[in-house]
Amino acid sequence: MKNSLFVILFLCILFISIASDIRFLNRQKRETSVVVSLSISALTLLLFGLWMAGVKVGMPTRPFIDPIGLTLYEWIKEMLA
Amino acid sequence: MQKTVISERQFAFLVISLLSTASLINLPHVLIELSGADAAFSVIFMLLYGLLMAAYMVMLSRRYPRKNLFEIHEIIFGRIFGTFINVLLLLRIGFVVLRDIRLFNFFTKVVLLPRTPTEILLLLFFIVLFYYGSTTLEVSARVNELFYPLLLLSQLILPLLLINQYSFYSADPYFVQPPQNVGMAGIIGCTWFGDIFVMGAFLQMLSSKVQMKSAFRFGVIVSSFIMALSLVLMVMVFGANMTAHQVYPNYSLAMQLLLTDFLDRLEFPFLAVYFPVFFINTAIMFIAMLIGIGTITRSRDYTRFNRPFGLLVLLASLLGFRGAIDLNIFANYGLPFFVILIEPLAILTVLTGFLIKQHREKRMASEYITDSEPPGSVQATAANPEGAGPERESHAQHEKQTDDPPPSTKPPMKGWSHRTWTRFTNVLIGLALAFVAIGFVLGMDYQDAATFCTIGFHLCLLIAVYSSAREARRAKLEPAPSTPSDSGGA
Repeated sequence: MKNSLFVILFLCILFISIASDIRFLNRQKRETSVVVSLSISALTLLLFGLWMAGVKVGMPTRPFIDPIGLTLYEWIKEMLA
Repeated sequence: MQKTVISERQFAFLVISLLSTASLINLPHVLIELSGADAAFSVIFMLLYGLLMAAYMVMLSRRYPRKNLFEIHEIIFGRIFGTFINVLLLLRIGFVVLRDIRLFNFFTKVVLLPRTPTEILLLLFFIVLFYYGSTTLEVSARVNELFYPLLLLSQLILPLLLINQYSFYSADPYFVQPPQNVGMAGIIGCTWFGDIFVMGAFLQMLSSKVQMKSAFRFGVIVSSFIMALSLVLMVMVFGANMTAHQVYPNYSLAMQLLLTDFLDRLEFPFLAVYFPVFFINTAIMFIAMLIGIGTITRSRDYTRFNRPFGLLVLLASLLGFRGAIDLNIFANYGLPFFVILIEPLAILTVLTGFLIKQHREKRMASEYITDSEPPGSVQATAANPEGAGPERESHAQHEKQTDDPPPSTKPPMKGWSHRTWTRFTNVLIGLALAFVAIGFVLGMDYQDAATFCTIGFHLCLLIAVYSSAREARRAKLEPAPSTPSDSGGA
């Protein structure tokens, strides 16, 4: 169960950010920073959607926790014992 | 990008904040778990590693004075491979940001707001982060300059406030742990001190490279001293075993403060000082990431993607760790593995690329001069690659203008020069290392000698803090030498 207050606030901030980028894009000529900003927003929206749908997304921290971190932790514990 | 300039003191405080704030929460118990009561000696490895990283960044910044580390990588390796190195650096900073944000989140949840949902705590944190992300580093540097001295003071007066709580006998015998355990703790500590890489994004913000070197050195030495002080204090108050099993031993130390029957819960003033500094620490890293993305995508205004990127980091930090155990394993075992694997490799690659580029420029300079100048002047210019070619000439001139203060006509100042203070600090660090080595050789058989080495080690660290402060002060006052040979100290 996701926290509804968080979901609403998160989406509000995200949509304000996207709207401000689109407004900026309409007013001025195409600028790299706005394109980058919109791409990041799209990625965030996708990730948020997957999280809401309950799909497990492999984050880059996972490999450093499950296979690597745990193995190292156990190895060091054995070494100390 | 906006031109931002910060002072040497602000730079030094940012380095200290970066190195000591997050590590004070999570690192001590791991170091003590690995190396028992001898954990304080592992700090020497962290100190040396921090100084090495600082020397590396100062060297690059001397050669490319108005560039940050991301831009320097692109200059050395070109667009494609430079971007690859930059992505690795961004990933490294990103991991540190995720680690620190979640550390702060768990810490807040445990000590202050246990019933507030994690998502809300994170969102509140990010809302303030968006504000700092929309400004330049100058704002964070000023806030840090305001708060960090308070945190430093609170750490320094802690031994006095806890005077009725500790026993010197909890810390002895000294140098009885296996040296490899202390070495292992040192390696893990080094990866935390490797966070100094974040300052690479702000190299262009301090024009004098002598001051930058001094600021880096002062920052690293003070951070090491604070870490050593905290470790010794924890061992003396709780003993090695208890500290190794605590999650936040530094917070527990603050909880031990009981001044008379009426003044308890004194940890809250400590938290009030600690939170803003920790926040600035995260803001610095966040701004460094924004600058990195701005450099890679060649965006002029990095504040534009502050909010969307912040939201992405917020989601990543939420999904990246399932709980406190995950975070602990990531921070102290997984991330160090990544850092040990990537950092030396990346540094060696950059250094090799740097040397090849320098060699090529030197050769091109000599060719250019043999084509355009009379033969007599070739050698003089070829010896200094910066002075070759019209572009390099202006670059070197520009560097000379911005790098160091102009030579003044003031009479020479009394007391030791900057270089002498630097050498003195280096001697103290060398002595501290020697005390650790001798302590481990003699510790099992001669405890008197081990005690002497322990006292010597801590005294060396303490005096090194003073001498590095003097070094930084002299760097500010003295006109810099015209030759780049002063890099030897770092």
